[in-house]
Amino acid sequence: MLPAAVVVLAQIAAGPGSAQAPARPGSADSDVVPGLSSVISQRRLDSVLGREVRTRVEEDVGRIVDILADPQSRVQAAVIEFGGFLGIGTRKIAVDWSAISFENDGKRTIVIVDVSRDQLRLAPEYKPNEQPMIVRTSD
Amino acid sequence: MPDWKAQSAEGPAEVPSRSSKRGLDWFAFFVADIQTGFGPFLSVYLTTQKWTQVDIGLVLSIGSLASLIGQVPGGWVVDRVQSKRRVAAFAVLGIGVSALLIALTPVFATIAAAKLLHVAASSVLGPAVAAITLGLVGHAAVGPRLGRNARFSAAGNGLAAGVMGACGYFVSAQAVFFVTAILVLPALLALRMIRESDVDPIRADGGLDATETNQRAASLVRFFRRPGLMVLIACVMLFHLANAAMLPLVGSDVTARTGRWATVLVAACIIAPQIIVAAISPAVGQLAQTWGRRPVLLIGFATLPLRGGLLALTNDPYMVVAVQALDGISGAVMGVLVPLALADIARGTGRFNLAQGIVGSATGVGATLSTFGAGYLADRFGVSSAFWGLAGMGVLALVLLIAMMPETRPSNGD
Repeated sequence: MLPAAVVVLAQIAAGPGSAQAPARPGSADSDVVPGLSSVISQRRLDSVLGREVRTRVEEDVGRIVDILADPQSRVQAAVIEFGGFLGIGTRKIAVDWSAISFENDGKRTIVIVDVSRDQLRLAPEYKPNEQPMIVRTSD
Repeated sequence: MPDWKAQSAEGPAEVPSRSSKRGLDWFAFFVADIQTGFGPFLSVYLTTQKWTQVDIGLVLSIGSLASLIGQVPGGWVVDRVQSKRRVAAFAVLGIGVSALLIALTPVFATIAAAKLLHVAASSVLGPAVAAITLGLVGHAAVGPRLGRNARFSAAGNGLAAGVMGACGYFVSAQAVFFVTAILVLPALLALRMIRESDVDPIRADGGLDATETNQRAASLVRFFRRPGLMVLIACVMLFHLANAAMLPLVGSDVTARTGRWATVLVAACIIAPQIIVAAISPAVGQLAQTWGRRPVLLIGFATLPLRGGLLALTNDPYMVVAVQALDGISGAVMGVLVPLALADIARGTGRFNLAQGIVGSATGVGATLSTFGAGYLADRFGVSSAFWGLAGMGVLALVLLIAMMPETRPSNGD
C-alpha cells in the first residue's frame, strides 16, 4: 500500500483526465488521512542546510549550518559559519532571516547575505546555548 | 659488488641501508599527508552533507574521547608487536578505509565507526613511526634522525594543508577524503622501502637490559619513577594547554577582521609554521646532541608564552601571521625533543612506545582543556585576555621545565 501522500502526488501527476489511479476506485478517498493533503509547491524550493552563502559587497564566504525559529515556528535567523581554513578558525554568526535572499544568476541559485563587513566583524560569535544576538540587514 | 649485501646480511648494522632511510623519509611525509583531512575539516565536510550541528558535535566528541583513552593501549601494543612495520602498514590501511567510509557513506553510524577506526589506527601509527626510527638507527643517532623525520613530516603537513584546502575549496569537501585514500598507496610504498631486517625490534622499544627482561611486569611501577618521565608528561600537557587553542583563536580573529582574505591568511597561519619546522628541525636534532636536551627544550617552551603575549598585543592580521610563524620554533622542538627525551628515559626498559602513548594522551587532555579554557576567557573577557591566559599556562610549563626537568642525554654519548 502506497502512503497517502504519494497517492495524491501520483494522481496529480497523472492529470485530471486519467482514470487509471493507482488505488482502487471508490477507496481512493478513504486512503487519504483526513485533514492531511500534499500539494506540489507552486514555487521552486531549495534545501538550506549546508548551502554556501556570500555577502553582497565584500564577498565574505560562509555556509549555513543551522536555522533558528521562534516559539511561533517562524524562521527568524540562519546560523552561518564564515571563514577559516580546513575548518580551523571559523566563526559562526546568526544572521536575520530577512537579510538572506536566494538569487538566480541564470544557471544556479546563489544565496546572498545582505550584511556589511563591519556588521560581521562586530557581531558576537553564535553560541548554541545562549540567547543569540542576530545581525540585521544593512541599510 | 656483494659488499653491501654482506653488510646488510649482518642484520641491523650501525648504518641501516640507504633504501630504509629514504623509505622512512617518505613514510613520515605521507603519514602527515593522510592525517590532514581528519582534523576540524571533518566538520566542514559533514556540514556540506547537511549534518546538524548536534550530530557533528556528537561524532567529534566520540572521536576525541576515544583518542584520549586509546593512545596508551596503542603505545603498549606497539611495544609488544615484533614487526613495527606491519603495525604501521595496518594502521595506514585503516586510515585509508576510514577515509573511504567517510567519503562514500556520510551517515551517522558509518562516520562514527570511521572515526573510531581512524583513532585506533592513529594511536598505533604515531608511536610506530618513532619506533621504526629508533629501531633503524639506534640510540646514538636518533636525535638527528628524529630531526629529519620532523622535516619530512612538516613538509607533508604544510603541503597537504595547502593542497587539501584548495581541493576542499575548489572541488568538494568529499574530494579531500578521496585524495586521502589515494595517498595511502605512496605511504605503503615508502614503508615497503624500509627493510624489515634493518629495524631491530628490541631497540625499537627502547632496548631491554638483561636484568629487566624477567621483571617486565613488575617494572611498570619502576618505569614511572624513571627520572624525568612524569615531569616531561606534565610539561607536555601544560604546553598543549597553552598551545592548542592559540591557532583556532587566531583563525577566528583573523576571519572576523579580514573578510574575504580570511581563508588565505588563516592558511598562512597554518602553513608558515610548517615551513619553519621543515627548515630548522634537522638543526634542532643536531643541537640536542651537542648542547643536550634541556637547553633546546627551554628554547621551545620559552617561545610559546612569547607568542601568546605577542598575539595578545597584536591587532594587525598580517602581523599575526608573522607572530604565528614562531609556532614553527616550538613545533620543531616538540616534534624532535619529546620523542628524543622519551627514548632517553625509556632506554633499557622496552617501554618507549608505551611512554609515547602516555604523552599522546597527555597532549589530548591539555588540548581539550585549552579549547574550553580559552573559549571561556574569550567569551567573558575578550580575545586578548584569552591569549594572556594561554601565555600564562605557557609560563607555567616553562617554569616546571626549568625547575624539575633533568638532562636526559646519556653522559658518555654511547
